[in-house]
Amino acid sequence: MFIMRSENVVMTNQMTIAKRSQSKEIFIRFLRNKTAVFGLLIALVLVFAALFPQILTSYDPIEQNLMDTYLSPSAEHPFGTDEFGRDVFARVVYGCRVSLKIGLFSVSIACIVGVILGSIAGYYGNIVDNILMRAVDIIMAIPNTMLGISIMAALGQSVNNLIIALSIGTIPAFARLVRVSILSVKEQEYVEAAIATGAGDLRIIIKYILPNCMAPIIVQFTMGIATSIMNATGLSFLGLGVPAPTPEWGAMASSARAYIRDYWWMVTFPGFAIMATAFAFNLFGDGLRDALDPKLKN
Amino acid sequence: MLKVKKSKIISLVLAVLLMISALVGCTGSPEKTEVDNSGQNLSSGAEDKKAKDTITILVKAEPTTIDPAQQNNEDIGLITNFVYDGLFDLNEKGELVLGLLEDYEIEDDITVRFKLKEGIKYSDGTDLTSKDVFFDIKRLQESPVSQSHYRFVDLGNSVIEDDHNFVLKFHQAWAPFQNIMSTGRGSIYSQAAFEALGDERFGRTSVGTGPYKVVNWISGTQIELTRNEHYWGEPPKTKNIIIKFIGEPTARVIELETGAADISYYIEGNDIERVNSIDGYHIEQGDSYRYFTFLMSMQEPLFQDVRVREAMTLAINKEALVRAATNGVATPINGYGPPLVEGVMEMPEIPYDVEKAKQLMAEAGYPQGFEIELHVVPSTLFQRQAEVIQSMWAEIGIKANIVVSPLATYEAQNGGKFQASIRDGNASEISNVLIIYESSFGSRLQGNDDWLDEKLLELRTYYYGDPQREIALKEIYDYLHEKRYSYPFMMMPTVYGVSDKVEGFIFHPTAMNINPNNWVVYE
Amino acid sequence: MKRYILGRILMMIPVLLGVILITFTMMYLSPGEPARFVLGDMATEEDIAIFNEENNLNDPFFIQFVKYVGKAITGDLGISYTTKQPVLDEVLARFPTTFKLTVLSIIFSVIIGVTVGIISAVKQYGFIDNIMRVIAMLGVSMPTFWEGLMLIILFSVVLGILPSSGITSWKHWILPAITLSTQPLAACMRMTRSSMLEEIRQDYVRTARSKGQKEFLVVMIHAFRNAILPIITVVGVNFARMMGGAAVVEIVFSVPGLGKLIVDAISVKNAPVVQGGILFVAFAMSFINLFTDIIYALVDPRVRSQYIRPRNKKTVAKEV
Repeated sequence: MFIMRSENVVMTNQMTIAKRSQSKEIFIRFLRNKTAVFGLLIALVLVFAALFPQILTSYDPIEQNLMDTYLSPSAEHPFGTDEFGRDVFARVVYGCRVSLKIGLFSVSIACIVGVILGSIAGYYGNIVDNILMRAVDIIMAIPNTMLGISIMAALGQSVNNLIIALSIGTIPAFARLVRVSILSVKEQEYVEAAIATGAGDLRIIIKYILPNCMAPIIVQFTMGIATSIMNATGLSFLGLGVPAPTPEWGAMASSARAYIRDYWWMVTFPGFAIMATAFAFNLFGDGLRDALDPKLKN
Repeated sequence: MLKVKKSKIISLVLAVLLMISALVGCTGSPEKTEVDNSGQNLSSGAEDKKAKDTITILVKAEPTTIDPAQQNNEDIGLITNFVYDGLFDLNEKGELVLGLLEDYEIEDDITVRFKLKEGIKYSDGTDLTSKDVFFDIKRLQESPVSQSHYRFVDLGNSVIEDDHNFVLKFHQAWAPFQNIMSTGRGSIYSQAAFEALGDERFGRTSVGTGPYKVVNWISGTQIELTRNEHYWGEPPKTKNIIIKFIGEPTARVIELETGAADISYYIEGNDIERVNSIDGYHIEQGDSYRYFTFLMSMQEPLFQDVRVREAMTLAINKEALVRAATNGVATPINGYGPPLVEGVMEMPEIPYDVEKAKQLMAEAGYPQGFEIELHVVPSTLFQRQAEVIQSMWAEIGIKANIVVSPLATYEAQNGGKFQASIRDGNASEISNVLIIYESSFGSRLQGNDDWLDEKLLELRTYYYGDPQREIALKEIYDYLHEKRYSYPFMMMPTVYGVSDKVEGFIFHPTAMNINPNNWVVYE
Repeated sequence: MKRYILGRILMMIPVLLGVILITFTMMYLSPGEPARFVLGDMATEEDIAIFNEENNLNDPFFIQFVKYVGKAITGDLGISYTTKQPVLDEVLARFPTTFKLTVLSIIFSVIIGVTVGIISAVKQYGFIDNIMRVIAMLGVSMPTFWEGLMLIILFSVVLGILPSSGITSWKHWILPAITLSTQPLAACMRMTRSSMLEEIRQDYVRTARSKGQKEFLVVMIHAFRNAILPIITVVGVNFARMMGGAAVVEIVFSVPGLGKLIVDAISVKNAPVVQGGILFVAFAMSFINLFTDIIYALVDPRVRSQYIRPRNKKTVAKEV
């Protein structure tokens, strides 16, 4: 199920040519998938909002304005104001940065740790494999939500702790993915050839084996961002997410839920933001998967 | 062949799943108890108004136990109110009245003679005697949760004269005793029943003298009560009560809207209008004993300079804080407790003066401010207050990091030290309100003030009516005001959502002492 | 087969031990003393000391851990700090509710998910396919609590036809089950679709078609039978995951389940309940995974043949 077949890897010159045209092909395939492109565009908008919030809004997301509380959406406040008179649109925009940071960092950490663990387990096998996979099983045996709240309760509330808590639960996915790839590729001739030429273990793993799992890793990474952001909002709902007054969509929606019938905008817009973000990254990830794995297409 | 096997397996799996869920369905759902469905016809001149035999009440959380000796929060007190009585009681005007007592007499500073009413029986038919009172007090003194309240009783020197007469001796004059005995902790239960049921089971049922008794407790969902046939007073008008636990405020309002409940304790500020506009429901609201204050640790180095503490209070715009945090439902206060508590005095208002605050901070050596942790319990109300205070302190350079933890004033980080916190109190007696300033209760201000400790102890020795009491109180308040370790800012009213079809509901400042005996719900 | 099952069960032991270790460590590290949470703010230092003694909280970490495991093996999960009831009793009282909720959600998500997935696959890129894929994607992207709140607003407040909290009647289960089923439904749908697509392309399907078999039969009998394997895996994975994820749904809808019990316990540092609850959930999840794998092994002839000796030499496992 992986892009490159063994033939590509052996012939180095032809490999570069083959790779290049393959990348182009993947790119074209991706572009043809309209929904995936749509997802990518939304994701880019979100990244833009995260990087340059000042362009989108002039309000301070933290400054309280106790005279202007609970204003409904208007030209001046497109998403209305919250219980402290803060502009909800501004909080949603700045919340983008918080959520994307949480999503990106937690998945990155999980990816790095997971890939390392999976590589070691898959490559060396035997006892090492057994121990590492049991450790992964343990993490998987604890439901993500409970793992998250336990860790947050232990470490205390902060954005960084939230990132750690979320990353731990995502490690197993990457570890298992890489391990499976390695197991399937390990026996191939070209790997044996590389070992015979005296190449170091690390080199072998990085140069020959990992490239084969790039595709699933990339897809998992993208989807993982969506999942992380969703899990973060779940934790915020339980009161264990980002501490006030940092704008975070889950915390915003959750703290306003008693008002959902009177001041619906305080819950609805952050909720939509979460949905849009997860939706975008999921579409994007799905599109990537389709583009990288031609078998499922016509 | 294979084809058949596979689909067979699939259907087998589905069947197993369905079976499991059916089984679970039979055991997992709460059983409907045999509730007497014959509506009573009350002959109060009401033509054909049929009364329901069950009132449904909503509370916000399931009590962990209803053992009076373990009572440490309101959730428990709400339930014990229905099934137990105390020697004294608190009526809806906040006055102390006799409960199980026929009479009492303060013989001297440390001696009080009590006379129980005759003929009071527990829900299991046995008689209430003085022995039970002594047993209960002894248990209170042994329970870590309650011993601090009853530590003044000297059981060793107290005497049981007969089944209905006994004399209690105190280690020192103890003015608050009546009030303490009117709380849920003061509930009287049968020694024999406790010994028969044992520690664990006693807390899940009731053998008390109250108007109702526990008939079923469905964990996580509700407690079902039924009339206590042996009740010593006028039998309560409604036979059964169901108390449901619903955590989400919105959900409680929805229950009222759908008519699934008759009364709801705990209605949020923004739902008041909504409940009033429900056809057939209205709000009962009034002052309560619940007040909010923020506290500064007496042991925190950053707060050692009184100018810092003053600055922190001057930076608060009380009106705005109260309004923003509670949608205008709560009222600002200027004393060291809620006005309803006897002995609370109005203090000079602390102005809102950001400039002066900044000046004081600079004088104290913190022109740039500093960073602290502000602890609150995980309740939306507290968190909202914290956010406003956080924003106001930011104006004078104080960066407050809000830390949410169930016991706001006590964290095991840094060896149990904390810095600032927001607390609420709901004591109805002044000594219990001011107890937070005592050193032996480190969980509040981490107090280490000898003068306060002595004075508060002294306060307890002056019985009500003694002019010394006023003098002592004034001294204490002036001292607190000067020292500025706390800033009480608002009183939160008690709000009930009540069906129009309920008769006999009389507002009570605290639901822990409300009288349910006259409640009737009509169809 | 038996050996396989036995082996898997043995494997569960170190995993469960690991789970205990992790939850134990987390609770140990959490700030705040349980004594304070249980005894309340009126307790004095003395009271705290007594509580700690009684609950072995002064012992070093490792000793506490070993003592806990020792008791857990015998089924004694300790006593809840707050209610003084045995943890096992509390967990067992709540478990059926969560399980029932999870089962209802799974059934709903499988029935709808698989059906829509098949339709989607058969009519690939048709209108229904595209719509369903978008809806599935939306479903997966919706925060659970938000969805729950929205459903409550729509069905309880605006339409007034469904209750919003508790579990007293069959109607009470509808909204919570729908909310919980959204994610697995989407996953199921997508897996069914991709799995079916893969099968439909296979040669044997073309063969069946060319033999003149009706389209419906081709789809259902041939393709689906083989497509079902990954679907079983997905269902199993989601079932297990839902047992934990139910916490949010339980809180929003006031369903007295195990998830809510654990979350409430964590917030007051009621360690015995947290440890016991999570252990129980991990236990249940492991068993569900095992169960799923067994079903998979039974259903997939390739795996089956490894574990089951054919009774009749003539019968050889073969596809189609």
